[in-house]
Order: sequence, then C-alpha cells, then structure tokens
Amino acid sequence: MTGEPSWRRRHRIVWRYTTEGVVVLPVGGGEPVSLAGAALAVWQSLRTPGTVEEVAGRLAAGVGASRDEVRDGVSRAIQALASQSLVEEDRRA
Amino acid sequence: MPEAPDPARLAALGLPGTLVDPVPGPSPDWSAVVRAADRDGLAGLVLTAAQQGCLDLPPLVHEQLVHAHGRAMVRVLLLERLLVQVVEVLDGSGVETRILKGSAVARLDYANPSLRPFGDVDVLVPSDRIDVAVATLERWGCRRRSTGLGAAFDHRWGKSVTMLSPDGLEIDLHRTLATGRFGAMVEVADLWGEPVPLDVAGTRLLALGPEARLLHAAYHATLGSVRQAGLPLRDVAEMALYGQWDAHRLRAMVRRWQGEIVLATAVRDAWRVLEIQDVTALSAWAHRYEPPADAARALERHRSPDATYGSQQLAAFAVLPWSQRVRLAAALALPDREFLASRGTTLPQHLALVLRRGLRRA
Repeated sequence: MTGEPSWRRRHRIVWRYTTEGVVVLPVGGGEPVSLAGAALAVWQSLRTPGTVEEVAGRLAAGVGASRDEVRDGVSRAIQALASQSLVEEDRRA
Repeated sequence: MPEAPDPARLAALGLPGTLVDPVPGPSPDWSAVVRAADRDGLAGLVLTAAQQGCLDLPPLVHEQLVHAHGRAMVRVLLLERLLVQVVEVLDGSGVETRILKGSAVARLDYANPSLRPFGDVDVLVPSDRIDVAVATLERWGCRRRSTGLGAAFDHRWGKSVTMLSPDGLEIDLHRTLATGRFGAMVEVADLWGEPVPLDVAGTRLLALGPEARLLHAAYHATLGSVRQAGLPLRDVAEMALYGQWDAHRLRAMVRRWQGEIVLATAVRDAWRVLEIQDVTALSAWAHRYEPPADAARALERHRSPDATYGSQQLAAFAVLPWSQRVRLAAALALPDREFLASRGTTLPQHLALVLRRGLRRA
C-alpha cells in the first residue's frame, strides 16, 4: 500500500464512442466533453479502477514505453478528468 | 450525372449477409449521402463501413460525416441523461416504467450502441397511471406538446402523450405501441412481463423483453410515420437475426396481438430493402405468410398516404366489442374543453367532423 488514491469512472455518466474518441456527459449536470488522446486512453483504462501508477503501468505496457515516461501525462489526464467530474477517487480501494 | 443513394439502403452497411451496394455508380452524389446519413441517423454506419474498407469516402465527405455522427452522439447523451432523470422522477411518484426504442435498442440490440442514434425519449407507463406521469413531469418542468382529447382517451385509447422537457427535448410517454386497430390489439400486459434490465449511468432501468422488443421494432417499422426508413428496418434486421428471442414465445405473443401481418411485413421489408441473403425460420415464415383479407385491408388503409391520426383511430372499431366501441366513440366525440379551445373549435363543430370522418370510413 502506498496510500496513493485509486481512481475510477464516476457512475452517473453516459458516454458514446465516436470516430474521434469518446463523448462523455455527467448525468448530474454539465456539458458533453469530448475525450481524445491521453485523456481517452486514461478514460478507457479506468474501466478498471486504478492508481496513477497502475494506470501508467497498463498504458506503458500497451505502447512499449516505460512507466516513468507516461506517469506525468497520466497524472495530468486524471486530474483533468476529475476536474470535469468524470472520474473520482475510489474510496473502496 | 452523380447518382443519389437510396437512404434506406445505407442502413444495410455493415450488416453481415447483405448484398446491398448502398452508394451507387462510379460517381455517387456524396452530398446526398451526407444529407441522408445525417437526417436518418446513419452516419455511424457509413463511417464504420469506411473504416472496414467497404467504402472509399472522399476526405471532405468523411469529415462531414464525422461531424454529423458527433452531433448525433451528443444528442443521444443529452437524451440518455434526460431518460435517467425522467425515470427517477416518475419512480418518485410511484409510476413504473419500461424503456422503449432508442436507448434500450441501442444498448441491448446493437453490438455497438454508437451506431444507433435516436431523437427522443420513449418510456412506457401503465395505462391507468398516464395522467399521474403527465402531472409529475409537468411539476418537474415539462409541458405537453399539444393538448390531448382528454383523460378518458389517454387512459384507454391513446398510443402516447408527447411532452417537452425544459430544454425542448421530446419525451413520449407510451401507453401502448401503435394507434388504432393494431394498437388496440396489443396485449399491454405482455409489455410489462419479463423485462430486461439495463444499466444507464449506474441506474438500473427496465426494457421490454426480447420478444416484445422485436414486435415493437416491427410495429414501428410497419406502422410508424416514417415507413421503410433505414434505421427502423435495421432494428428489425438486428433483432430478427441476432436477438435473444424465443420463437415459441414470439409466435404466441404475435398471435395474441393479431399482429402477424405487422411482423411479417416488417421482416419482408427489412429483407428486401437491406437485401439480406440469410434465410432464417422467421424470414421464411414472413415470406410465406398470407394475411386474412380484413387485416391486409386494414394495413393498407393504415399505411395509405391519406391516412390521418383520426382515421387510424377509427379503424379500431373493427376489432373492438360493442361496449368498447361506444367508449371509444365517446372519447373521440366528447373531448375535453381544453382540446376544443386549443383547436379553436366548438363541440358541435368537432362532432360534425368526427361524424363526417366516420361516415367516409364506413
């Protein structure tokens, strides 16, 4: 245990894939958000909840990079998704 | 001269077993393809076909379709958010619901829900609770799109009540699946039995069972206002080919509804328009089915370009016992005062109109 928070997609959200990524909308309010690039990759990875380290590990393995190379990008993407109320800390973890 | 595509045939794109060539000729009219795909919700199917190498889209056409599909998906999300809210609000008033069409079909009957856009929210509510449902949504900020004939009609004879959300999105509160004769024969109890759960935004919603869903798709494709449009026929094809329905239960249900002609027509139309080559037990039955003469006449009248909502409702007389004919006649002839005011008519004028239509029909 590192004490690092685990993240998950918020439940009260609807989304659809488009040719350019995914469009996400919180049911509680707000506007539709289009996700592409790193945000999309992190969103997809968070189908299974995980810490920044875990998500970075999954994505790094997928693209043949090291965890260190992608960690900062993952962290920034998670913070951005959290600020849009699309992901939240998984307090059950 | 560029050739315009048949919009309905675009709906065959990506369907295994079809031989359709949806974009005709060496120089198709791409602007017509974009217009049709955008209008009929088929942009996702066209783009998927292009991704799979079945279509070679010019770059500008591709870009226009990407935008069209993106817009359609944003609308779908706004509608799904509304759907969840509507179900929760109705649940708070003790009104049970079943999800119809759009969201349920996209999530339960398509391998990729993003290929099945929709334009409104459709919810089934119990016949005797439709006024509670309307009042609940009005308190929540919705309004009726138009004034109905009255509570007596809504409860027993109406197909649905259309509401508008505060954002102007459409909510159809259904009591049954069709108007007139064919709607009157639908066993509403069948719509409530054995629902299928689906999770939307962490909320557990209930949809119709697979047999009722297939029949609803057939009723919509055959009796709906936009007949032989691509997406309703694609729904029928998806469910007929890949649905989890049970043949015995489907046969029993369609018999109870006396809806064999509706199902057979929908399946035949889907097979013909989408050029499906597979022969299934259902498609074989549909192609050899011969309807009773009165049912064939009734369907022809229902689908006639001259048919009106009123004439379709009057057609229910043919299949109702006398006691119910009297009730339907009263509901049609004696609407609420608000209805008359909204039409700028008086009761005698309305009675004369109903009588004229009834006599013309007879």
